[in-house]
Amino acid sequence: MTSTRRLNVSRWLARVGLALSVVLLFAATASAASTLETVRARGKLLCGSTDPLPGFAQQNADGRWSGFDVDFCRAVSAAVFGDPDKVDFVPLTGSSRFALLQTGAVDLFARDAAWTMRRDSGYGASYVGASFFDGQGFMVDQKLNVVSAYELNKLRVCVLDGGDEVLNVQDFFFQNQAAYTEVLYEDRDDLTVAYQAGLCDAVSANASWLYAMKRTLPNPATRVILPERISKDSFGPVVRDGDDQWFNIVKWTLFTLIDAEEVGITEANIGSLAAAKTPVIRRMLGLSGTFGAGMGLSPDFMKNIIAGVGNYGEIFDRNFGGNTGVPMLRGQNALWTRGGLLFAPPVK
Amino acid sequence: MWGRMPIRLLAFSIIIVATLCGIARAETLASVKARGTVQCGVADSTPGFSAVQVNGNWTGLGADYCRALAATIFNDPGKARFVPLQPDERVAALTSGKVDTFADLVPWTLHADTDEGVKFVATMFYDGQTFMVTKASALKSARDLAGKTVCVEANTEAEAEASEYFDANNIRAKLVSITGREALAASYIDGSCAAITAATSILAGMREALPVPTDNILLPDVITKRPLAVVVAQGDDRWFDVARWTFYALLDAEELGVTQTNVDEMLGSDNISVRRFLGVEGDFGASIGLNKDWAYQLIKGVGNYADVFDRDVGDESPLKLPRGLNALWNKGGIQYSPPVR
Repeated sequence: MTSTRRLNVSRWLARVGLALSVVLLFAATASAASTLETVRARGKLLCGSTDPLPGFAQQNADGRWSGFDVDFCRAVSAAVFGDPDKVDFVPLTGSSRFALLQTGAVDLFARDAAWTMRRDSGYGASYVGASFFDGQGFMVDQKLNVVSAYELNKLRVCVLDGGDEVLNVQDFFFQNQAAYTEVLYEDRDDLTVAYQAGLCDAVSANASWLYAMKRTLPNPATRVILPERISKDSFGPVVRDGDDQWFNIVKWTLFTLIDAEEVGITEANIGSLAAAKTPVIRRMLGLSGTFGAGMGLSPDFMKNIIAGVGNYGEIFDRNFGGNTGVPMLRGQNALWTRGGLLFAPPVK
Repeated sequence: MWGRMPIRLLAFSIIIVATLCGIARAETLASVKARGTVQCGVADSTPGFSAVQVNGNWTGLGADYCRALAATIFNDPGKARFVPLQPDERVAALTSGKVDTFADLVPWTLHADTDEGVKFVATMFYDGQTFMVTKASALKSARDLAGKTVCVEANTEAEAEASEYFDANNIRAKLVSITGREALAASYIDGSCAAITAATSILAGMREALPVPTDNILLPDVITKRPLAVVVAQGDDRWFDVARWTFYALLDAEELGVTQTNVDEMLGSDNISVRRFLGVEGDFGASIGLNKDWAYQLIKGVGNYADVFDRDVGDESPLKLPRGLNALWNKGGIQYSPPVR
């Protein structure tokens, strides 16, 4: 009886799967037409964000989203509508992310899992570029009096199980001939509780997640994220394949934020630059040249982005700066001219 | 238990759809495979970047990128073909499918990226405009050019950039435009120009062609950013992925310490990242329509980024350009690639 029932359910599910495939195929084909037109007709952008991550994406009591990744979505909204607020945020979880992008339930992710070859090429989606350079690090208590990961020895390290994190920590301690005790957790929340309860002396995870965790802990100033990175990870906006115009719009939104910081155009000074003579400033403000037409955007799209959300450095400061009480160093996320890795092709 | 099943099926459906979409658009890779060669258009001749030798061989960074594609697809860098193009026909040749990419790298700008129907893949060489002077002149920086005659090729972006730079920095140099790169070189040799200005990639080659190259230096001032990039046509995500990951694999190999010399030895490495990269563990070629040893074939065929850089423009080449910004991100430069994972 049970087996027959299971068979029927399986058959039913198989049919659903087939139907979904067909629907998705059409959806994918239809959405390949023009994401920009769809977004314009809808009157707002649908931006996928991962689970709330303090500093990157969080919701206040009124339901309003803020954060580094949220500001990127707002920048795309400013590029398309001339208004940073025409955007709805769609929280995403684990396995359904690429499905939502494929079906058109979201127009982009501001941040997905770390950029890898498999995610970039295997799911009908592409990363437009890196908006945040990251890597696995360590967080310890200030009272340990440690300033470098190379000083870590004979302590308990909490790590998330099931990924490369455990292997990275093993490699690191093996190569440094240092001793440690592995304390593994399958769940981030459990790990946070364990660390707070003193069940481990250090936590090792992606620096961005360590940072987010630090913000949620009491007395964040007593926790130190050590400067070393034992892996290389980058995060960035992801769009579905099949629409190069949209790929370019999201990519040049990111490049505009970076170029604006390099050129010195800010949310604060942009109103006073109308008489600027510097050619690149004039181009970025839409005062000379006809940039944007090839993407279906108005010539002042860069001006709208900067006026709406500021440049990359301003977004970084707003979400990770001293005003948050938990400042993050720019590190690799500084401009290429200042020792970091952020680079954008020139506006010309 | 049942609650999880639809999600798996949904995920399965997504993969099917993604695969179908991939196949539907996989025209370039399919036609390259059917043709048996990668066709790389080339309009610009610049030593170290894209230059034809007396024997008809093309050399340079861009030419080696073309061979890199051939190595990943055919396990044979010799399957690269170089198609000479006129400058005004190059974009049409790419978008019409006459060529699959270019063997001369293209300056990546907002205009070039969004107004011409092409798609920029990645920056292979971070370039920038600078100045060449004779050592005898004792000129040490751009500031010293005040009152001097600085020559530039007419009707180039370098002409406008130099003028903007001198204005913005209040350097009263006399900027003289000369038509054609050969005439520019001649004016420098006969001493009528105290300095010439152009991109580092161009000046390095011009210096090499001078009677005594080592009597000349490039000033440390780099006045523009000029990323020279790999380009493909729009509308083919599969081909974009092949082009993108072929380039990233060159960087990943350097970072992992996999070189043209040691690649066979590295097949026995214990390092999980190296094993994945070389296809010993897992299969990362399938998602871009290639064999699982694609990266092994790439490094075996042309070497990693450092191998290519040294051979074409670095220490082993006449140009002797320093890595500078083109060093890896963890060695003081900004060349960065996501991992093969």
